[in-house]
Amino acid sequence: MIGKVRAVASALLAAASFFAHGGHGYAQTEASRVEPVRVSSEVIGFLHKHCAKCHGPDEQNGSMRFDTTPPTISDDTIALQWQDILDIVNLDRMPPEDAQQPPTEELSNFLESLTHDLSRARQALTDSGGHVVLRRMNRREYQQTIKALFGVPVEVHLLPDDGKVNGFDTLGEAQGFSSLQLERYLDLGRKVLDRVIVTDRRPGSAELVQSHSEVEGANRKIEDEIPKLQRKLESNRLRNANDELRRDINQRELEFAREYLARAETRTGVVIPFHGVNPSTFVQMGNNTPHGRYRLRVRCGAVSETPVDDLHLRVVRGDFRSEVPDAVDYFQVRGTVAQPQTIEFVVELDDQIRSNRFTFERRHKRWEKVERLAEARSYFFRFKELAYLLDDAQTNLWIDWIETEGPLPPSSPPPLGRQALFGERDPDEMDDADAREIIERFAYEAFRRQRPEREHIDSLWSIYKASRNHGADFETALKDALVVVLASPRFLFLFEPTGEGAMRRPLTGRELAVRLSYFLWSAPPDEALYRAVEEGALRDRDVLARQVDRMIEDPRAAAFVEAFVSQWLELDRLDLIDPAATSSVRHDNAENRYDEAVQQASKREVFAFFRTLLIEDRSVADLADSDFAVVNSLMAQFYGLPGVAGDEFRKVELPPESVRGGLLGQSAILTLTGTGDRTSPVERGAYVLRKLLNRPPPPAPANVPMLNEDEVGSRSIRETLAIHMNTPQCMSCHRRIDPIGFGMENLDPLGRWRDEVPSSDESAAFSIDPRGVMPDGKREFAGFRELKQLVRDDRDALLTAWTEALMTYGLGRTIGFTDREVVDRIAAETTEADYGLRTLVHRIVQSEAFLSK
Amino acid sequence: MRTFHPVTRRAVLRGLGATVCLPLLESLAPRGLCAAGEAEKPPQRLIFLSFAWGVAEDDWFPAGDGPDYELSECLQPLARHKADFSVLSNLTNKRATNGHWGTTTWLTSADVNGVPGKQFQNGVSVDQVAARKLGVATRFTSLELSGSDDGGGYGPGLSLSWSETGAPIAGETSPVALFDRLFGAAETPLEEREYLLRQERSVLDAVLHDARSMHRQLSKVDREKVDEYFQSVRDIEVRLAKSEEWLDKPKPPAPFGRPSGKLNTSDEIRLMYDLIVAAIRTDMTRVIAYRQPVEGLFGDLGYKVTGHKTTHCTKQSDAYQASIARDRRQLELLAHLIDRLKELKDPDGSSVFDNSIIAYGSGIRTGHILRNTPTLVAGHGGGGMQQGRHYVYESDQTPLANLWFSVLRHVGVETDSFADSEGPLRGLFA
Repeated sequence: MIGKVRAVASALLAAASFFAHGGHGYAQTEASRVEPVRVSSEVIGFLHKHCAKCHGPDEQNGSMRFDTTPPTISDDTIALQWQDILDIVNLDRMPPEDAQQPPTEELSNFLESLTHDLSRARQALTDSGGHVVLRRMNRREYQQTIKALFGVPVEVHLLPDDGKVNGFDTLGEAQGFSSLQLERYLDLGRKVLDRVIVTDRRPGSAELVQSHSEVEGANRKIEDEIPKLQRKLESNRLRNANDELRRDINQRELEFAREYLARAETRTGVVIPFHGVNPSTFVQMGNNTPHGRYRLRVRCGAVSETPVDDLHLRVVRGDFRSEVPDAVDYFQVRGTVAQPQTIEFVVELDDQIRSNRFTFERRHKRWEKVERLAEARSYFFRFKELAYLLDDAQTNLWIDWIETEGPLPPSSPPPLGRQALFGERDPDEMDDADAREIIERFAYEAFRRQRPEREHIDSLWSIYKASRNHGADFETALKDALVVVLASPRFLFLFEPTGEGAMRRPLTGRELAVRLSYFLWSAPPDEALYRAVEEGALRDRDVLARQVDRMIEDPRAAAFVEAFVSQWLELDRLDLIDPAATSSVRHDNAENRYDEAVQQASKREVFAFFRTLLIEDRSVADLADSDFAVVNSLMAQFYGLPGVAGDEFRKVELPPESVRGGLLGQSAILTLTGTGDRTSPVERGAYVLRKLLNRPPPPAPANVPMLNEDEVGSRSIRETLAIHMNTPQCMSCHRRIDPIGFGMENLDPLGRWRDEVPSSDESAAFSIDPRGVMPDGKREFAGFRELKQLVRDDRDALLTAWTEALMTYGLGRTIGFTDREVVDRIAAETTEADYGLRTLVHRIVQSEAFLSK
Repeated sequence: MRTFHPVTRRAVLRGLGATVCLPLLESLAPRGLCAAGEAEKPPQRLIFLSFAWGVAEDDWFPAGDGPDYELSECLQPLARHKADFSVLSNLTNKRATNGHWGTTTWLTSADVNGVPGKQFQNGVSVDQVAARKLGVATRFTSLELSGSDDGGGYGPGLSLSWSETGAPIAGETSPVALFDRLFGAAETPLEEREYLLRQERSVLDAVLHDARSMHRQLSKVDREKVDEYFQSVRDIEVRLAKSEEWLDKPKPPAPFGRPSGKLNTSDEIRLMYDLIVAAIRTDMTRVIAYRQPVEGLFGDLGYKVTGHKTTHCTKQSDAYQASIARDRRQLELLAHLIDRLKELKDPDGSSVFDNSIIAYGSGIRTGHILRNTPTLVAGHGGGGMQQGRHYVYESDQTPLANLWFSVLRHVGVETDSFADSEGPLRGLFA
């Protein structure tokens, strides 16, 4: 029956895909370079043994016959036939119940082999033949490009989401282009040029230092409260129990306020939080503040004789009525009232994009509980909470003053800023010829120094002219034309013309520079890189190597580190975990609780760790296990590593017994694979197979019912998941996945060490049995440390996985079968250089694949 | 990063309450677009609604079949409309293989692995095919909408809609932006609008110069990307051509104030529905596809779970309760949409609902299950539909594309098949 359905389906398929693609028939020739995958002999043997009787030459039950199913998967129709066989067996519909059943192990091996063959066949069939598909800038790159060219921010979230392949946003094949997209480029371009041409007309006014009086104002407000509270207390008539409570609360508030104002620290600054008194401390920059970069300084300290370790300033950027802030950051406070410290940071102001309001708070707020209880609308609870606040054991934060300075002059004038466009001339005195010259210069730079076509300039100029004729002034008319440049394909796409007869050709120096700068900076080349192009030297190996070194060390490389690491390691999954909903909330007190601050720092830890390997050219094996960690004070406290102060991430040597080495010791990685409340050994195991062992398990098969990990109840997770080993359908993949996950069970859902696991209903606790065997079925490990060591031993597999990932990101295309040789060569060269990560990046850039179109 | 404007939710809702009565639909169409005979018969409309993460399996699908079936717990909010919709069981997008893609091929029924040399290639979506016919006479050929939250679960795509070439069509994610697109800029004087239109044309000419010169220097594979750019330009040209036809017709007044402020997800969906009703009321479009947000609904309902969690949970868990609550909330909102469409009258006295087909469902049943996916069809499509039943098709191998094929035929699109359809869907389309 299945076979019949499929026959109809494939006939229709041909019609449907013709309909959908309007007959682009060229793709077949491109893909034919790849050897088609043959189904393994194990699979064929199994079919002969268990299926051929009913689906062979003699009988064709359900019109299915396997001895004629082609063993070479050379096209999609054959792949679908094999997929059908796999599905039917996966769903346990075949062999029929009354037939003899194959042994579990044999069935499991059959399923594993066929799944593997099919996924390789899919790869082969979809291989792009090593061709880099024309790609446009993604949202991140657009944003960085606008910033590099104009020095202004842009509301990039208004652009539609970018398509992704395997999590990467740099692949042309995944990108679409729609009319909405084009309209948004025009809208955003207009906003950008409004900022550049109109708003920035007020030239960089002299540096402006403002001290903010809100701090003193906060105390004045508390002073003003005192007579109000007194009046309330005097007039309060006691009619019922509620009134009495209210009076008591008011009485407390009055005491708190007086006590607060009597403190020496409040004469010059504010103390937050202070029992029931919560002076608000914020800086609101007016909407007329010129856009640009500003430095904020906060002089503060602990209300304590000696410096403390766990006091942090929380800075929130955002409108106070909005639940979701625009940005949040944390700074460790090591100063005291007697010896204050000044915390400094730079922000970019643009009230169109982000709020210009900055609120300063202490990291640990007692208010969380007050707010929650306030929902109960019970005075009684609130009252108890206030009493609790009296015993606030944590150190209070004292803020002396807050100061802003800016706008700061740009470090170097942007290549298309107002100054660059008009120089010292007054635009009102410029004429049509000037307009043409500016348009041409503008397009040249925006197009990453490609000469615009004459026709294109003509049509841009006529937009300017039509606008002038319609009565617009010079700047407005010019803007109308320049907006169009920012929506033109040569700006939006990273354009590399095809070679003669579609043959491979070396990239020109300029093209190489663009590829390189979008790889390492997500932005256009800078002056130094363009200069290397002009000198005709960029394709020289040494010159290229020096440029790569310079670019890796440049702060702009953060764009690469953060994007690549987030996308490849799926760090976005961390955003789905709400710190307030983790097990930590129930079990930990404020000092060692997993909160927003830890979560944010844990993400940065992964970036900092990767950056350390990159800068120091350390072995990629360190990704599996290392004898150091890269942490700041927040993470060090969370991990219990002593002696780390300050917000900077730095390399810290680990004692031999520490579990923190490598990615697998990092909170972010251990957390994102779970729910924040519980670990998922399956997710963790699959993650290690994908990211480190280069044995990605196939995606969960569609239509096969799942085992729910929260069915644990009062059983241990190991007991529950044992079911995976009872059914061949599950076992075929899970025998490689689950043991690794069990080996990591000593790390709790947030990445801290534990010796036992609570059952999901928390009625019992189980000791952990972390023993297991590696996916090769041979090497055994006794626990987490041994597991990491064995993963580290597989550094060649790890190197291959990371080479492919880096190449996918950097080249902007899927790495397929045709690239096998290139990948192997790059990996071999890197192996010779002790697996260094920086070497790996160099080898990728110097490879044929990167250097040619 | 976003900027948030501090306007309370109440202000938004107040804006919505102030619905003004508008002139009847027929007075808005530009002269010459409606043939004399055609004016007698009200236009058919299509609304496609889909979402990620499937449904609470055991409490969504109803028991029994035919007209006397019992509404399930999740379907209760639709009770008052029971005669006007049907549940279709056993429909499956047979060529879907990815258990994590909730909406990617819901409207295309495509085999995304079907093109050699390509990792992924979708087909055209049914709304786009229908819009080629139904969208001729309206200001907007079709509307594509998406949700603002990014909980994932949809799979590739930017809305439910895919172009002729199988490229993703971006959906409008903001109700405010949609409002502006529908009703904004009405006060600009005619002469100014003519000038702006001319300038917009010049803009397209200019970018086309650049695109053409690039196109000449590219291989076929690369050209495909530039072709998408061309297509987007053409789409805008079509819109401009329409704008020109509609130039001396002022945009209709907005039926309610411009929304603003921060919305929770339930409010967002309701507002999108109200805007859909407003767009139909003013006959701006007749084909709408809306990929709805889901993730935020859990928060609205007081649950702290993720959409993903609700598809991998036991029936006893909180997450399952959350998914029932979510399904009910979604269907309360759908019931609201149906109410509004029933209130709206076409010139011949029938309701807009009578003349619409609303398809509602998801490409995933729950978990990774892609068979017998939740599908519900409301409206009478201008007649000829047998509503108020639970249709249980045989096996779970009836192509969902049969439904899309039937819908296309019902609105008069001449075609022999759609994607992997095997024929029209019996029963619902008499």
